[in-house]
Amino acid sequence: MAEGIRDKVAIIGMGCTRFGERWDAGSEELMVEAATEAIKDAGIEKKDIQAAWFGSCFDEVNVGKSAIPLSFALKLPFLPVTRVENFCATGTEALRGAVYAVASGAYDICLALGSEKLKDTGYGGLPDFSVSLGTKNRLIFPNITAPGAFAMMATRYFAKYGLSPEEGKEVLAMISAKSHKNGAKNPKAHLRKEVTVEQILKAPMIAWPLGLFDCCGVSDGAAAAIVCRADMAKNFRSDPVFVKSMQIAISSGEEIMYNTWDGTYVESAKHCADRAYEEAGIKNPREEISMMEVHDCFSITELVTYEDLGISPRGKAANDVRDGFFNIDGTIPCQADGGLKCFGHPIGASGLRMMYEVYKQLQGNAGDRQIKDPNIGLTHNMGGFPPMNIISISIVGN
Amino acid sequence: MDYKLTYDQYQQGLQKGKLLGLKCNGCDAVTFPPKSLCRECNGSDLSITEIKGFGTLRTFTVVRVPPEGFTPPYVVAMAEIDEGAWVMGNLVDINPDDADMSLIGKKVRLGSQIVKGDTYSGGDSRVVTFSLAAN
Repeated sequence: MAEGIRDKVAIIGMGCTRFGERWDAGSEELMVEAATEAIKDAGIEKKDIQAAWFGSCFDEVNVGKSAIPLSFALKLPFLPVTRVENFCATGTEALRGAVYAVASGAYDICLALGSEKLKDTGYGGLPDFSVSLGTKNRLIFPNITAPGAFAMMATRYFAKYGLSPEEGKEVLAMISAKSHKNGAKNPKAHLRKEVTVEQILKAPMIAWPLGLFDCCGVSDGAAAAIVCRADMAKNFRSDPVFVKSMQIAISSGEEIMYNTWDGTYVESAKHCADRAYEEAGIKNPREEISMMEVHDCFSITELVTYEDLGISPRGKAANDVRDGFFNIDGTIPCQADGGLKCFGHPIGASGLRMMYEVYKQLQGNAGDRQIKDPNIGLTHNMGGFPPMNIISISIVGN
Repeated sequence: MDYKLTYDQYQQGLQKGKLLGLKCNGCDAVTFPPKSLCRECNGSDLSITEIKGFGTLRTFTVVRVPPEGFTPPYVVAMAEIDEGAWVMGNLVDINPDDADMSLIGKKVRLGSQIVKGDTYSGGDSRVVTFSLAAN
């Protein structure tokens, strides 16, 4: 009988590069920077790593396909290395591969590393999806952009819950302002500036109703984790972080193709959250989770995710936002590191970057962003579009 | 699993002005555009059906920053067709600057337009469009 992975694997080291316009570094240098910090943090040597998982999404941009780029960059000695890609959940998938490998008993110590080098193309958004979407692009998603797809969720959410566009946009602006306030304090973030709600509301429109500050940035970056068997973890450090659950849920697209979906939530996130809470033994997420790093590719994504994760009641997340529930000094701080909003979204790295913040917070090493006594942290990624997507949720604790 | 209505047949339908979908012989739900299984009940006993071509606009956005190769602004919308499925497409025949919340709930008529092929696609293809219909 399958029993899940709760408490079988621990994270004993993590690394994260400064995210941003890293003209100073190529994808290899980013990988080396993240891996070096993680290996040092774990107190191991590179030769202790038995297998590795590498996440990159847009392999066309400076990285290349296959697992070779990671093996090449770190000169891993003929190790088993696997390259994974699952849209915006790519970084988390790298971690999941490493965690599952250790949980299976196949290895004692593994590396997970995600990297992406997007800025060099000079293009403002993500690279063209027409290749990566295949015929779905022609059947379902003609000339929609990522901001446009999520903007339609905002329009629908406003309409369903009776928010005027002005009221709705103000709530979304509060979400972005909160993340910018946190990111301003984080030396590894790309966009380190506080932005006011008023500035956000006046910003140029990208895809109505989403303006510039409703969208996360595009950045270069890499992040890495060293994981080992839970029973070995305290040999390496006194404060390892234990994996409580790692779940993914993939939509079949039935949401868009039949009318049981109403466009104001992400169906697969609910399924993923239910499984993750069950695996982690969480009964009441609003009471039990200490902090979250969610996939704020757009402000509206963060708003509906509060509800999809069962933290806020349906249609009521705006009240929690207005009450400061997710602020750094709130009940469940969300995006303590600044989120995608301030880190940007080097896709292969993002899931591991989120876990880096949770890991540091649980160990009490988050500096002036430190949350008071967190013990359970959650990360969430969403790849794809609201009606057809990949969701990953990871829960860790000390 | 059979594939009752292929992508090519669907495209040929659009060219002739027909919107072809699949009606499930088990639960009567209509899957549009076509897939191998009924999107409602997973049934595989499907018949080709012609969509009547009307729906209700449920949400929209005005894209001001487009993907490379497209000229902004333009409106992308989702409509619930009378047969039940949600469909995404461009709302044409409207000035994007006039798009506001009053569009939600409006009746639309489905049509199609050509999207240019690129290096990795099999040439030009047709995608669904919407235009406002008289209520």
